[in-house]
Amino acid sequence: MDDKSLAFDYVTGVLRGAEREQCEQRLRSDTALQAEVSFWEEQLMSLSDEQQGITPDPEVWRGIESRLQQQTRPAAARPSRFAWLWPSVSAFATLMLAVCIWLLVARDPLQQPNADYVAILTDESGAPQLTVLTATGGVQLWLKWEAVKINADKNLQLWAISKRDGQARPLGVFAQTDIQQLPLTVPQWRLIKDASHLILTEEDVGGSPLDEPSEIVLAKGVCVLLAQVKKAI
Amino acid sequence: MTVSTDNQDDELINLIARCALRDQTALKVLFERVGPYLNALAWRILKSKELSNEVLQEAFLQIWNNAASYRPHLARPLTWMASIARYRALDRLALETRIKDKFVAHNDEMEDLPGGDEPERSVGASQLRFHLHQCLTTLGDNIKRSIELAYLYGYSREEIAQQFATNTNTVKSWLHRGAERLRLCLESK
Repeated sequence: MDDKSLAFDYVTGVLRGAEREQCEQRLRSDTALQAEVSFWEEQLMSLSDEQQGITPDPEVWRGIESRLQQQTRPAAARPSRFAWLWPSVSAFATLMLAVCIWLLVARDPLQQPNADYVAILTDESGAPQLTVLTATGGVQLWLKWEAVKINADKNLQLWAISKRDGQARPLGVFAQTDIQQLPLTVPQWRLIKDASHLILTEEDVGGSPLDEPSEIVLAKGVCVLLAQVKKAI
Repeated sequence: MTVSTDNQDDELINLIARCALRDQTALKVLFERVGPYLNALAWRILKSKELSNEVLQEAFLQIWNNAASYRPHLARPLTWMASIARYRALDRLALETRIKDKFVAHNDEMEDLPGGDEPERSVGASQLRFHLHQCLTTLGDNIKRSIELAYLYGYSREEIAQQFATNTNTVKSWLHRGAERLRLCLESK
């Protein structure tokens, strides 16, 4: 069976059992097959547009919430492996150490970030709260959270403070602190490149309604181009 | 429920991005917006409210977990989410051993779909739909119906063959010839 037929059979669902599993395996790395599948997914979607929705039972959302809590609980309970290091080193050493540790603990070499910009956000006492790293030419954002607590009915919001005009522009809203890696959009990447520093604020759920940071700044940190830091060393 | 206008694509993309940032409120909004639509997709394949609700739960957990890997330039947000829901429904169907005569019942059953409003469509989405249906009608009734039975109702090749009192190889041939001609027709539009 050629790839065009394979993709069609996969999307329509007539590909079953071991054949389907093999196709899914290939889809993880075969971009040409992915493109064929995407073509049919987009085209055949129109078959179902006409159908009405069915309101799900309320239990479905409750079930999702419960499963999400189960997912996040172990991560929240796990102590930071490197927490003891933070208070004892200077801000610059901390910056480099965090990046080195980050790179070292990535077990899969393919997963190691090709870092470019980094910011360590610390609270008023100088304790790091969040390390933000852009990697692979601004395609990925890596986050390393410390023991940041989110108050009930509140979210955290990350902002880039422009070195050109001093304006704060939003980078993301966080309801939880277990996310470690995010795709970075081109506008977000530009904001980081333009940023003198990043700040983390407490906001209402969903982020600042005014698109301006609140006065509750939990942490802030200078945004550093890592290539320049390496040259300096 | 309005799930497929172009402007709303941006809104859905934004909600998925917020899910990637672990914003649970965004997931709830997404669930309210597209949950009924995805539930209907799953229900058509599984013909069971209980099973479609279970699949919907799995689908939204997958949307949450995979939100960071969603790429708007590769798929429209609704297509990405619908594919997740459909594939989870097909997985679930594979676990079910029951074989029902869905073909006879499906027309009536679709009219009985409870809840929700007709999704609004953008000009672009309507054109896609118009072109698809125009092209499908050129394939002949058996091929058109086979594609619909597979895609919409989760029929296997064997079940389609049973409906048309033919053999599986014939159905396989119908689907592949149909795909080839459908693609040519869609690409010429």
